[in-house]
Amino acid sequence: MIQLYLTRLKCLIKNKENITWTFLFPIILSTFFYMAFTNIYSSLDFQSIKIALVDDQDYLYSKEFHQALTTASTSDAEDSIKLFEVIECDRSEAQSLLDDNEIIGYILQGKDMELVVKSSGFNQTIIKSFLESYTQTMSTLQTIGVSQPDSYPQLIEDISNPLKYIEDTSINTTSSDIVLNYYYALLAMATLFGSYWGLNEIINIQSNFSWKGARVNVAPVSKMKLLLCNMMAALTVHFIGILLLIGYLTFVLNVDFGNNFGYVILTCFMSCILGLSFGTMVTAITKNSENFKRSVLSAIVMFSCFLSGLMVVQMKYIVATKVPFMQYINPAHIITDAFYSLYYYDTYERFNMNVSLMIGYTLCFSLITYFAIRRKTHASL
Amino acid sequence: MQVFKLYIKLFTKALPTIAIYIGVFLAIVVLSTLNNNDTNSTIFEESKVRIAYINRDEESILLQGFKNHLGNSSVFVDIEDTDEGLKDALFFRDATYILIIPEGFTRDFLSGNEPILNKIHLPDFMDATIDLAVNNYFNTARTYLNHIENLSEKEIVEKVTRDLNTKVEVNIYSGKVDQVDSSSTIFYYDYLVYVILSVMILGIGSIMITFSNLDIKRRNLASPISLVNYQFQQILAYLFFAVICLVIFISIGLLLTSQSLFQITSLLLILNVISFTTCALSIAYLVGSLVKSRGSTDMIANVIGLGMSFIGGVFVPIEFLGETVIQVSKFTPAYWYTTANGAIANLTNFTWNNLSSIFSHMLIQLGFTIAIFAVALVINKNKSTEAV
Amino acid sequence: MLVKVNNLVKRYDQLVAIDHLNLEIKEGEIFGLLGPNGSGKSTFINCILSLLKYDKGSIYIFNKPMTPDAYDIKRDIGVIFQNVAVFDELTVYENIAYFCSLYVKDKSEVKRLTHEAISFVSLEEYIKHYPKKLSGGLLRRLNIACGIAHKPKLIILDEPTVAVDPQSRNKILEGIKELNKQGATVIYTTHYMEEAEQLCNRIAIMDKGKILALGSKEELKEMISIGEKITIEVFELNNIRIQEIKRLPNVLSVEYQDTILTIKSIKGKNNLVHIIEYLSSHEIIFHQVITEQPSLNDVFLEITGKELRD
Repeated sequence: MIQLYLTRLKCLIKNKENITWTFLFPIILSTFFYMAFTNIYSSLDFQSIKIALVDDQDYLYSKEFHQALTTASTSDAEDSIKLFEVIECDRSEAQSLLDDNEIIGYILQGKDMELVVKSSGFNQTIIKSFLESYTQTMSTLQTIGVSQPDSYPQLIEDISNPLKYIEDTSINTTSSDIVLNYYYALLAMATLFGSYWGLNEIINIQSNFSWKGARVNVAPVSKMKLLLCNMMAALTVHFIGILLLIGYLTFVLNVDFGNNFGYVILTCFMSCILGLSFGTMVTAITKNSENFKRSVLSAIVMFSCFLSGLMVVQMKYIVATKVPFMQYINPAHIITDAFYSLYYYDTYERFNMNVSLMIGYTLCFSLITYFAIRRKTHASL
Repeated sequence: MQVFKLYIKLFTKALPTIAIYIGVFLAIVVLSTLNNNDTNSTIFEESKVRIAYINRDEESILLQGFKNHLGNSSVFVDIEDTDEGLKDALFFRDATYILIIPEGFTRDFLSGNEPILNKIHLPDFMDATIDLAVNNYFNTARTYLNHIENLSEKEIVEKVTRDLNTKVEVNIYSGKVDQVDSSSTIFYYDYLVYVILSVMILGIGSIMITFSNLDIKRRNLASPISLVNYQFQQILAYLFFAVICLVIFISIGLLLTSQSLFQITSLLLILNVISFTTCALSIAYLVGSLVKSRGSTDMIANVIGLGMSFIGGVFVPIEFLGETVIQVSKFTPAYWYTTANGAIANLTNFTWNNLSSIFSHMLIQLGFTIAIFAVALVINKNKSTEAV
Repeated sequence: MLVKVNNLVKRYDQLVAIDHLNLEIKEGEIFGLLGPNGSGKSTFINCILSLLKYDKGSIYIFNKPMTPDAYDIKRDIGVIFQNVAVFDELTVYENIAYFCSLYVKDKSEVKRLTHEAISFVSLEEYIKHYPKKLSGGLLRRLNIACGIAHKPKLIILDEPTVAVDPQSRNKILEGIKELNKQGATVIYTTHYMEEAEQLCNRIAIMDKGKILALGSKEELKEMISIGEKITIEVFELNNIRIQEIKRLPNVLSVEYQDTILTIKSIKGKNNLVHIIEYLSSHEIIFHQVITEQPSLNDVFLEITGKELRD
């Protein structure tokens, strides 16, 4: 048994191109993720939004409005960046500035403010919020001003010093929550790509796919025993690759996996087995060429990862809210969820459920593989 | 054209495989686009935040009015008011913002104190809008409370609500180009980066792997067809494949978004996507020339497809990338493609000033194509006379 | 001269694969290149075809220098490699037609030649089959059909019968003879002596990148000292007798093992008579007596000092 295992292990390690790429690909990808996300929550690069204000002599508070626009800034600090860069001009000029993308939008002032923009977006929303807040305050001022003209100075004082009525009591103070899911989904993908290892092992062992398979089939060793040894070898290599990835994520990219590292490793191991057994099952039950089997595997793994938020993180939440049963079926979702619950919860209920699901699916996939292979041997005799 | 025909035949034989790839990657992009359509509606309807509104105070008129006000920008979800309940709600994204009103809030507020609400939330760009709504409501209420005497709770709420309902009219001015908002179209075209790269590398890779059989390669090399001629026909066949893929992608784009083919912006987008496809083709050709096994092709397709999408402005918009990352990103064709898409989206007139930057971005992509092809051809040339 | 190789040298880093090799191949002959695995046969073939760069020397085919872009020369060469080199994705017919079309422009001509090649290797029944469904022998025949469909003047076969059953092997060898009869010159590399003996007009024995001997099989056998090999079944024989047999005229070597007495002697008359006389006069009982001409194996053994490995 051990000899078979070691021989297979040697074979797998000798295939350098394969090993290099399977080990490197998630590491390279995680580096890309890191690059893409380092900046996502910092507003260091905020640049004043360029807007135009169309002159309107008829508007009573024109001066005050202009002042409010030009003094608004991103924070209370003295030297903070101004929210807007304002150009005053007439309407046709503003229009041509907008056409040439010199400004984000222009404002038609008056009792009812009007904003003209070219498309919706983050900056446009900021302008709109500002204008709304301004007109609302104006409305309040007018209402009070009509009935209590003498309280004006105090009123202005009150309005210019708004109170904060809300306080953040979030348990997790790290704000990288969404980014984390990307790494977890990547980890899910990397472990699920273990299905390729499973595919290789089945191809190797099934006589109708390769000459090596034929040789294996006539050897006086039980095919199941051999397959088991080979799978163990594949699992070993695959798991080493994932450990490298975890190491890279934790120590180089500083991805937070929560406090219990032992459980993180356990999750990795379980999902490696899950991926491997999934690959063997798909290979054992599909017909056609190796190419076809591969593409089916790729397709399922990629789509499964997509649903668990690898490309667009919102996808995971859409699935969770709109098709909740998917989160118990989709392997990538189960894996991401397991990592996330380790990071997020202090208790292990959710985690235990996810791991149980992984074990359940692994058993299920393995059984299907077993019967599919056994049937095939009998059919070919 | 024997070689061309051979490759077309190989493509037809590999059709099930390629169809699966095209199917799954398109599905990913189409679902993303539909999702994007849902959340970012065109006419400035900010997406609504899912709020868990937990009132531990009495159902006062003040809070009633507050809840109504919040309802403008959020959807309320019911959750269990326990520690577990709160955590689960955030975990499953039932709610992304939990607002807790402590006991005695109304009484404190009306008696002139400054009570505080608690929030537990997931970081989201929309958080700020909720904070703003909360502060606006209570600040305005406080102003009335302080400055007009003898107002009843009900009157305050009425006045506050009236003030806060003042809206600003936003006109999306779409200029002379087209009347349809193009954001979903651009989104779809941006996401095509992922599909095109993946499908090209995997599709062409699965064909080229056939030639990693040494003796097949030698048999072809021993024939009286020149390497140049051979590669020309080979690339022609790949181009043919690329064109078919493009036709599929573009038609799905037309079906998916309310974009019309006969607009100049559409034509520019198509021209841009053609430029990008040639890049993807050259990358696929290079990968196919270097790689010896199917397994590696899968991995490389993933690294390039996902990697370029993440740092090239597809999955994460360029504006969110850091300065250094953008510098790196400029070495990928995806950057030039997505920025050109962005510029096309913002076109309102066809002055040379606006167009030239778009065309220069396309030219840069073609530059990538030529450079990568050149490298691949040199590699093939060297391979053909050595290491047989 | 159809093929002329002058002073060819090919090195792989330290290893000298072809060592100052000179060779001429005449039009119309079947030329055998015999040597053990790793002796440089395949490297030599790849050099002839300009698939490999070589370090020194020159190669002329049809009296023209062979280069990677000598397409007019390549057009008249057919190659069959050791491993089956066909597309799994194409049918038998499509495979042959594709490779033929690389050599022949005219479509209807390709069609005609393809059908000819198919009937030449008797694969008519399998026209629409995919290579994966063919047995090993059939696959080899397909492999050969792909190489010869365009009726080349020079056919190069690099160990085409490795791992082929005897039946298919005979068919292949006969096919090659047939092609030769139709006017093609054949270069055939193998490490099976019987094949070379059966097939080739001239044979070169190659080892370590050098040609050690060259000639017709008769000429080769002349080159070595053994003229005759006599095997006799003897039940009992002691060492003294063996030594005495050794001293008989013309005897080169004597070996006795498991009741089989093998005697190698130089060419000469009455070799057998001397031995039989000796055995009878000493009242040694013997049964079967076989006398053989030396095989190429003996030639090879004597020239290279080692057996041809299978």
